[in-house]
This record gives sequence, C-alpha cells and structure tokens, in this order.
Amino acid sequence: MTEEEVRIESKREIYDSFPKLVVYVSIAILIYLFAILVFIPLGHGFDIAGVPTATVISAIAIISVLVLLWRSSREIKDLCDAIGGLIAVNVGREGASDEEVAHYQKAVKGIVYVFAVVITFLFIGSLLTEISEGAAGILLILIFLWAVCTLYSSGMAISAEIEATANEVAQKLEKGVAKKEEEY
Amino acid sequence: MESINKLLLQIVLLIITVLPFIAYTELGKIESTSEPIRNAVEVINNSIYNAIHFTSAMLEPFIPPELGTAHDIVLSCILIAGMLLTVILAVLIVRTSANIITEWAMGKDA
Repeated sequence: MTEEEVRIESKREIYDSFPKLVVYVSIAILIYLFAILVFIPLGHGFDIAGVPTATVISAIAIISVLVLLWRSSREIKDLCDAIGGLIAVNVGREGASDEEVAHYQKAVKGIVYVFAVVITFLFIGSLLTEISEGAAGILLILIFLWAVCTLYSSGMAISAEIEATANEVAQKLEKGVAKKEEEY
Repeated sequence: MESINKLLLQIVLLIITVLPFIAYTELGKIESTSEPIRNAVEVINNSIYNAIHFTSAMLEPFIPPELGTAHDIVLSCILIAGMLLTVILAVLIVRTSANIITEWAMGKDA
C-alpha cells in the first residue's frame, strides 16, 4: 500500500471504530455499575437451592461484560491497526513498507491490549470476588504473565523498527561521507 | 431515522426496567425529618413487602422445599430477571448504536 492509501484507510478505521468502542465501553460500565450498586446489594441474603442470588447476578454481569469486551476487541484491533499505520506514515522511515506498518501495528496493539485487559480486570475482578477470591487471584497472575509476554513482543517490534531506522541513517551518513570524499 | 427511534425506545425501556430497582435501593436510605416524606416512604415500602408476601404465599404450595423459601425465590427471581433484562436491553442498545455509527461512517466516506 502507498502512504496515501495507508493514511486514508487508517482515518476511515478511526472514524468507524472509535465511536463504536466508546459505546461498547460505556454500556459495559453501565452494566457493571447497575450490578455492583443496585442488583448485588439487593441480592445479598437470598438464595435459590443453596446458590446465593448475589453470585448468580455477579455471574450474569461478568458474562455480559465479557461478551461486550469480546465484541469491542475487534474495534480495538482495528483502531490499533489504524494508529499503527498513521505512526508508520508520519514518524517512520521513508515510504511506509508493509513490514514497517506491521511492526508499528504490533507494538501499538500490544500496549493497548495490555491496558484494555488491565482495565477489564478492574471491572471483572470486583465482580469475581463475589463468587471466588481465589479465582480472581489466579486470573490476576495469568494476566500478569500474559502482559509480560505481550509487552516483550511489542518491545521487540519497536526495537526491530529502531534498528532498521538506525541502519538507514547510517547508510545515508556513509553515502554522504563517500560523496564528500569524492568531491575532495 | 428509524434506527435512532429504535435506540431511543431501547434507552427508555432500560430506564423503565432499572428505575424501580434503583428506587427500591434508595428508599431505605431516605432520612427525612419531614413527616409526609417519611410516611410516603413507609407506604411504598409496605406496598412492596405486601406484594412480595402475597406472591410468595400464592406460590408456596408449588415450590419444592429443597429450593428454599418461597419469599427468597420470588425475590431472587425478580432480581435475576431484572439483571437479565438490563443486560439484554444493553446489548440491543449496543447493536443499534453500532448500526447507526456504521451508517454514519459510510455516509462520511461517500
């Protein structure tokens, strides 16, 4: 793709995905707030066949928040691709190659995914403690391990891009020096 | 335009679904020195309790004892149904909003 195509495609994705993401996240927050402030306090002290009502309500809230976040993950991916494309076009080397765009997209995706999952855990963690505190702890450890791996691969993508940029600059300098030597 | 009307309808339905639960949660927290307000809160509370007790008494013969007391089951079912309805309406709102946004983005492209 040419630079102009990458720029147009990225802007189109941002226009399409960002408002959708805002709606998904707002509704997820709304469900969380209704569950935590209204339904769960009302459900304390009641049970059906030995299962506490607050636990059932927490499970419904967790599933719905997860479904919403699953749907919003596609928008997050599109948004990250768009931002990565724009960074490659505006900040990267001359002529945005597919490989360069892919590197920036991978880096942005990794960082944004980690933030998104951490924010999701802030929601789900408090609902999950209503069901099982141990499960919340195990989930936190798994998220931490995943975040380390994801950030590492993002870092590697950025480092590959920095290396390529450094090589390009070095080659330019070498050419400049060779040209000057020829002139003398 | 149709989608926007649908979205507004869904938002109104969500508010109607959740409002009684919010009102019930907040009723117990009202501490007013004004006697008419205190009386009104007491009347509403009593009406809710009476309605729940009446329904529980009607359903009690049909509920197996291993499931728990009729009062607990009626209250739990109301709460779970409220939560489910809230979630369903929220998902519908998301779907309609996504359609509206897609139409808007396509219009911007054109």
